[in-house]
Amino acid sequence: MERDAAVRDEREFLQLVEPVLPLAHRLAVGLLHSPSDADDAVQSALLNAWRHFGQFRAGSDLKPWLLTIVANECRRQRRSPWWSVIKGPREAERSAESGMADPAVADLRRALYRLPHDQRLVVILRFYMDLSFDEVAQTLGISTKAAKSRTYRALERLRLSPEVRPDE
Amino acid sequence: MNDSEIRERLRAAVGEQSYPADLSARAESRLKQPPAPGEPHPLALGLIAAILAIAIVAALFGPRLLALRSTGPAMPRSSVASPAPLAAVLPDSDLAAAGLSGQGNLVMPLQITKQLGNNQVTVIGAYADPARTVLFFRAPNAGSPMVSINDDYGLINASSSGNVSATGDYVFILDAGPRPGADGVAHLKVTLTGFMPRDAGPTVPAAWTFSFNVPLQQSILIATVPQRFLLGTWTVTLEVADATPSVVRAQVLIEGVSVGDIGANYPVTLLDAAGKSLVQTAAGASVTVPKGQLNSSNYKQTRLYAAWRRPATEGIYQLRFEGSGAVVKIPVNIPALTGNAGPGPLPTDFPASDESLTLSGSMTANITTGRPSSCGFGGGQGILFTFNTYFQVGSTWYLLAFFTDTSVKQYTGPGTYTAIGSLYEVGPSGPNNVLYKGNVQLTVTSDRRPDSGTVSGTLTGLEIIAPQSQVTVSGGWTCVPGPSLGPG
Repeated sequence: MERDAAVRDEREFLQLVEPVLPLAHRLAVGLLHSPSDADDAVQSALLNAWRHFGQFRAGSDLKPWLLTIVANECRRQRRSPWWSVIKGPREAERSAESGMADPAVADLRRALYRLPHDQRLVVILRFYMDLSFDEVAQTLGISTKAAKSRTYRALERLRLSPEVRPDE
Repeated sequence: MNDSEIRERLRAAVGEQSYPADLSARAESRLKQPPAPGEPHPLALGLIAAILAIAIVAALFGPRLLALRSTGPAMPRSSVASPAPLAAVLPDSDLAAAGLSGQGNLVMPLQITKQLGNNQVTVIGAYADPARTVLFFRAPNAGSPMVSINDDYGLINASSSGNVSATGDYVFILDAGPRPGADGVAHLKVTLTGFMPRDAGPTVPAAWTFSFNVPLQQSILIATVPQRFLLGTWTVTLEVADATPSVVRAQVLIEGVSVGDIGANYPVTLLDAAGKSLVQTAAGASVTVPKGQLNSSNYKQTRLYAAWRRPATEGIYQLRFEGSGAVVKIPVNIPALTGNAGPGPLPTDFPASDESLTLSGSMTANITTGRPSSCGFGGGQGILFTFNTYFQVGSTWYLLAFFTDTSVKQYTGPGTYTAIGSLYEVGPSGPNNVLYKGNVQLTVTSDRRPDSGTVSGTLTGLEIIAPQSQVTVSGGWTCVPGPSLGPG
């Protein structure tokens, strides 16, 4: 598929995606919990997005498309053996900012980062980025009902029991 | 709990980070780097990425993966991140000083360097298991580093010791392991506060904090725990009895004796099959409650900890308890160390490939046949290209390793790049020491199999191994696919 004729170079591509970048960065921070890793992930995701911009359907919403790519890049980074073995020095930032003093906060953080990627993603999209369930569903490529259900299951695993059941 | 409360708690857990204002500019600069000519199909990219991911794991954990070789898939390509297996950077004498002889593949290589006054200090490796945390320092002119270590949960409070290896490296041993973080690895924050001079003299203050992650090696249970038995009038509960790759350890709770009464008569020893006592590496006794909570009943409860260097020989050993006029022996089964650490891959495990490389200077060789163990490009901290090959001179194997320097330029496709080259001597368990290292120009003509190109540059002898010597490397290289390099 050809690239969008209106987007002729990298600068135009960046102008197009720039409004979504803060949200993309927030998603990466939420998934990776490290500002510098989030920077890397967003840049890599943008590179992927630019290379595959031809697959983006003109006229459709750019935000969920880009967020999906960022989420995939974050998952790739977490799967990489370098995530756990080589990227050590960046952990300094993490421990400095992590607020380990509150055991409840630390417990929730640990639980969050033990969630499977899909469940962590839905929680971050909904409660850290304030997306509506419709937007969450669009980003995940699933139905709104499925997004609600997945969110509910994730919250249960985090022991954050919501007041409203997914089918309500 | 309503949405607002959930939102608030999650935000506290994740934390807030401001959006970096220059991210867009940095992204633009990255996008403008030229794409590789003949950009492969996305599926091919995925396949390459998968192969490289496997290769990285193979390099990091290669020797352990080798144990699966007879039943598992063929040996994959090795690392693009580290041009040699883990043990390569640490001399055997360092491992011996740490009580990790033959376990070099479990030590994570590091190169964290800091200039502290007149001293250049480099952390060259780290090892952790549930009983021990070990750091390897290279600080030729400094004394012994004074170190404290924190993990995610705070200070790891335990006794420590240090050894100077035959090569002059300093091995710091903390008699406690770090606790794993949420991702299963230990996140260590090391603070170096000064140096104890090796000769007489005052402590040299320093201030250096650095952080890194280290995989946590596993322990093996060697006896049933908890188990409770009587020892004279004492009641003993064996709480921990396990073997890590570095030590055997035991922890017991003794009811009926105070810490003061234990004194120098330490009641726990580890005996081999001949009844000989093994060398203890750590021991301690403590009360079981904070001192302020001691009362007339709990002051006679004592928790004992002991660790011994892990014997290399498999067999039935005995934990021997003596006290209150009685002796109890508990047999423990300690497996052979080789169960944890197999030998590294052999050069001949990799397929032969035609090379036309020439080494001249302090070492001369015409390399017409190599055994490439790794080639290709991949991402990690930047995209780089690597080419590693084993070659033989006489009866000795060497490893010549190159990877493009991402701090100079990321790999974007065939072309000429500044690369870091290293020449290793290869021993029975894999590459041993880096003999020469330096910057070279690595030209990649093809990054699709068979990968090929040329290289030109001079490697300088490292101080410990070959001071003042140089080896010039030049010529062409190829990396031919074969069954040992995995699918592709």
